[in-house]
Amino acid sequence: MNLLDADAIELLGSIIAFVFTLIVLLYAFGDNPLFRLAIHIFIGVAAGYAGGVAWHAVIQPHLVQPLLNLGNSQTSFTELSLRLLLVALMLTKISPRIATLGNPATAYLVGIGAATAIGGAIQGTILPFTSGSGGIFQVEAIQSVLSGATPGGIVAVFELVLVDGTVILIGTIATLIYFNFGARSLPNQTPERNRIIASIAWLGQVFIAITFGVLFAGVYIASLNAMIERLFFLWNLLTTFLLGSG
Amino acid sequence: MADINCPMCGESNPPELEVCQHCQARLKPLVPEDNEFPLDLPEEELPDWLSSLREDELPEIQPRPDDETLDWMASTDAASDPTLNQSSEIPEDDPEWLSNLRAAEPEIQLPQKDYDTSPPISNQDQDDPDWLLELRQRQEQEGGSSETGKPAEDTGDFMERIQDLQDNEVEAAGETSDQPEEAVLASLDAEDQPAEPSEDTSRDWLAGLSDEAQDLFQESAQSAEESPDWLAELGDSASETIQEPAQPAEESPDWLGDLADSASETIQEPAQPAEESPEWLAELGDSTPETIQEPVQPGYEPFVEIQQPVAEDSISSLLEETPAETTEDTPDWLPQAESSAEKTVLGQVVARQEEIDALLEDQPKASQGVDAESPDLPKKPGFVDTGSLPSWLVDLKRSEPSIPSVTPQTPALVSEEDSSKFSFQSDETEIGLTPAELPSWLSEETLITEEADELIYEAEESEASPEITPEIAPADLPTWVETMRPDVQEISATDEDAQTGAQETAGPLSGLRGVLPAEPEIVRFTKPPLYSIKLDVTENQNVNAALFEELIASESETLTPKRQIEALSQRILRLAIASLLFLSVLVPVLTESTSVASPSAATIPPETQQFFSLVNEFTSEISVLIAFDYQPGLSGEMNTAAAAVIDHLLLKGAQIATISTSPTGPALAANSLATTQPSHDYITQKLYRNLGFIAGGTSALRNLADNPREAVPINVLEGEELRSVWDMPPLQEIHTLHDFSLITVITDDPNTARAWIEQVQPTLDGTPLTLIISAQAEPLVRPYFETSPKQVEGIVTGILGAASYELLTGRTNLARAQWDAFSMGLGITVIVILAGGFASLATSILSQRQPKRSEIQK
Amino acid sequence: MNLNLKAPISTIIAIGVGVFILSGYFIPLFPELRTSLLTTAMLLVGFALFMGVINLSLVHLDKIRQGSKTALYSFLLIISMFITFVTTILQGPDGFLPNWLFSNIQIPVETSLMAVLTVSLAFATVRLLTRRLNLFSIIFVFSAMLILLGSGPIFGFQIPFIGDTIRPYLSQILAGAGARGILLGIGLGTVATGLRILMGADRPFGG
Repeated sequence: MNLLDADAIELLGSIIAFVFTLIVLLYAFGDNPLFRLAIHIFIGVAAGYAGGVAWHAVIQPHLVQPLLNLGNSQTSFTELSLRLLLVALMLTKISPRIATLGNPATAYLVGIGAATAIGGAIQGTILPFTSGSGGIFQVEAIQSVLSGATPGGIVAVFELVLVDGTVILIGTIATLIYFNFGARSLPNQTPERNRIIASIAWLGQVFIAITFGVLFAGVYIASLNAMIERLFFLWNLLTTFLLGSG
Repeated sequence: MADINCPMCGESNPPELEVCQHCQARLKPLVPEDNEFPLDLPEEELPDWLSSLREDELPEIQPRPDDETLDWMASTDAASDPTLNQSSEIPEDDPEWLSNLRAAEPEIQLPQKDYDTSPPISNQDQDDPDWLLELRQRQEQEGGSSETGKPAEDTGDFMERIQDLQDNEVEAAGETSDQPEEAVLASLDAEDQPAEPSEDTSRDWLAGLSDEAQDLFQESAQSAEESPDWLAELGDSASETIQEPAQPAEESPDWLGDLADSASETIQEPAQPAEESPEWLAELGDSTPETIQEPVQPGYEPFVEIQQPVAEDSISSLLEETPAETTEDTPDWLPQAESSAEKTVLGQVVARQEEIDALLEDQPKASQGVDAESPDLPKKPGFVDTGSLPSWLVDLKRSEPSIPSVTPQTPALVSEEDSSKFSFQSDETEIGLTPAELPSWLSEETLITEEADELIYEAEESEASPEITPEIAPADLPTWVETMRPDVQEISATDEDAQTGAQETAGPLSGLRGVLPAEPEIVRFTKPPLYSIKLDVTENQNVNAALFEELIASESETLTPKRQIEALSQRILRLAIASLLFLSVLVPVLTESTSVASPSAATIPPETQQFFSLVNEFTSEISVLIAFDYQPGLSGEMNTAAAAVIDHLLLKGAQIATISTSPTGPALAANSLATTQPSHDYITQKLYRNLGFIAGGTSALRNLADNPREAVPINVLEGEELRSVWDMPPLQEIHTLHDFSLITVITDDPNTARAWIEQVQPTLDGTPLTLIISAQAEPLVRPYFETSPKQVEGIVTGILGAASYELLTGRTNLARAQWDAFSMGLGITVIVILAGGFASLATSILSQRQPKRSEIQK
Repeated sequence: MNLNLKAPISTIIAIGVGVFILSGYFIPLFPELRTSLLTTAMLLVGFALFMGVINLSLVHLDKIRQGSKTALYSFLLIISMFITFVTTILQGPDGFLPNWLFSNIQIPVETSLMAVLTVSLAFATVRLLTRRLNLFSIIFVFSAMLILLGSGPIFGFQIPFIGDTIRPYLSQILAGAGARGILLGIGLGTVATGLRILMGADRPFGG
């Protein structure tokens, strides 16, 4: 493929990208029939690319190539047979009538997924957050202030310990308690939580509202950046095309 | 002895039981088996009234010398029943008709066994009266044949009574029963075979009945429930016996049909009231003044219900009749018996009458219909088929008020309404028979009072009923029959009970009101109430049911999302916001403005500062694994955020290997690197290694952390040789992830960041893990940075982190170019949210206050 | 605990494999077997992704066959999917055409959709106080506003105290506390759910 063709193809691609971008951005002002067209084409491209990547990156190196290089492959025959069997069982999930045959393969995935999830949660989240190394009170920062490496003095220590650490501790506990929905059932009364628990849960709800507000702001910033990037793309393409043609 | 199967329910019962223990139906028929006369009792055991009846010799029933034989009798079986013998002589004072009957039936033998006198309307075996039971038992014990002499002795009284009955007006029962013979035959003999006796039974005095009456009698006789044995034997083939005591009432014997047919043809006396019935029967057992009710049916009135107690002697006189005498003495109004069978029938009738007399004597009450033409024959309860009856009988019955017809199924039943009106007492003696125990023709209204006599007499003079079919010639009733007819209407008018009470629908008392029931209530079977299977649903229930059905149906319906049409104000607001945002961002883009100041050092986040410091500490060539795990939609922010870091890494001489747990990761990596790092030849020459996509999420990361070479078995075509990517720089020294100098994960999803932290970081063993994340993931990722020891060494968050990093590196990149547009966009956003929020807040507050004011004003 | 004995084979597989992998987090035994099992899981997940693409194509082929209103769109989808898949298979994910399709169709459309989200989020924020006016919605909007105000200069002007004090405190301390609680809750829930699966109490695999 020569450069002209490559440039032409690049230009064509850019034009297509330009058109698709405009079609989708105009959806902000109202629905239009071209939008559905663009979306369906997008889904087709995305699905096709994902299927191709799955074949190239997973199926071919882990199943096809070992089968083709049965003698030289590092994969044993037993392991390969197991993979073939599970893949064949997974194939039955296409048809609802024989989908139950694929349950062992699904069970295999579920078992491994559960185990990795449990191990990671314990190892990566629960233990680090609940141990003394949780960093709530920023021990290193306090040590740094006390040693004089970080200016601030007692005020800084006070701030780090009482303000930040305590608030984080209270907020963490309150948020956890909020997700406890256990209530006592009283006769002729609607089940209600304990008053103390309900009060702490209310405080946890405040922390959750703040957290969700911060998350919302982050999503908005991300989408705003996407808008900025797209408008830059459009403008750059226009200028390149105009400058290039001109 | 074998158990007896109940004819009604089919259950097995011990042989000694009389009544079924399951359904209370009669097990042992009241009709004597083998058509034998049941009245074979020793003389000393006979009831007085029966004995008195038997004292008088019945005149012989001579066969009719002429051919005036009743058609119905002619149609009966010609073979006479040899068992029936009539040896009794007919008294001289017997009426001519009775004499003729006797002459026609010279050899009529009374049945030897007890016969069933249960009410003809009974569909099942009713409780037999005691007297009948006794009769049967005696009959069974003795096994002798009945005497025929006794009935003959009572013939005279019987005839006298018939004579009396002629003077009275008999109320027409008005019965339109479908079983003309049912009431009579059923009461006579429950075991009688209904169809057969009708063909055989004939009497001299009935020989003159019309053919039509005879035909009708035949037809209805087949459905008679019960017919007495002695009637069944009259003209039956004798070999056939009636063994069905509980047959439905519609099975009337044929002989009765013949009787009716012949009677309706030959005996036509329109002037005579239809209520006329033989006097002798009317005097049987009942002395209470009750009107005679005879069902009036067009075309067939074989029997006339009489309520007058029939004198025993008259009954006996009727019964005491030889076939020859009966033939000779057959009344003119009765057709001659056309065959000897008829004569035989007549003789049997006479003989039967003797038994009836004996039974009636013991019964306090009985309602029995008596055929006006054959007074000694039991009357079918409540049935009047004027089509086949003699005209005189028709007249008798038509003058009677209408009586409810007896149902075919239960012809012998006495309706409860009329049960109280039935009484069975003769003027002279209490016959002692309960209505259930009497023969069918006696169990009906046979109560004849003085008033009934008058009524019969008046009915006798009444006009003929127009219901008589033209084709049936009304018969000339003898005067004595007409006098026997009670005036049912007069009786009803005088009798308060008859006026107020329910009307009897069956038996000889049919049509009368205020009669006592023939059967005790406990044995009175009524048709079970029919409950409608139709569900009665009210309108309100229908509405609720429809509503409930609609609710259930809506649950299974798939809701199609309706296109929501925004209100115009909302559309305008949306357009305004979109326009403002696009314009605010487009202006800096178009102008490529960079006037907005970069973030200050004070605003640099510590995690970004630490990231920079970490990368800045690398002095030699480092191998960095960069994971591109973000979505293509956030490539704008991620590329902006990663550009400064990757640029810094490349400046530090890092050898980059890219990997992704997302299918679009490899393409994003190539696109991002090509877009953001065009100044680095390392990127443009594609010297970096793309490890591609690893599927499996956390399991893939765990596998990568344990054995990256096994997790990513990629072969790269280098020249013409296919080599493993792990054998190529910079990966030839990489065996575990710990061998990497730095691992940076570029992601927009906090879950992906958490997965890398949870699965990979514990195995890094000192290798720093850094994150380049989107602003939306910062709150959920930052806690991992604050742990001690830190699980994440550095974080660059969005455009702010990129701008801060660029500030630290001193190299402008995408963040700087987008900073002005970002600033304008943020400003417009804040203004829109503040303005719109306050406006919405004020609107909602005002709208809440307005309803309150309106409520206060009200 | 409900010992549902239906589908024992699947349950045995799930429990057996899961317990072995979980034990590897604490007892580093049989690393090769663990690697083999994890590699097989990667293969199955990749194959499941492949089957998902096939299923999507079957659904739209069915729509085309039935002649539904969106048959034209389904036809375009099938065509684009087929072209992309074939080119990716032939040239690999790093090939020219797959990259061309990805760069000029997928990235622009997805990024543009994210850009349109800006308008929707702003519009939703404006109407939030009208639809649901309570303390927590006010806290939510107020927190978002502070973060936005402190994330960058507003019309070129950096608001003092908000950007350097309020915003960091809000995002690092207050939101961080809530985030910690959420992360701990996620971790505890993950452990509980995973243990239920490994004990056989839950069988989401159709057993």
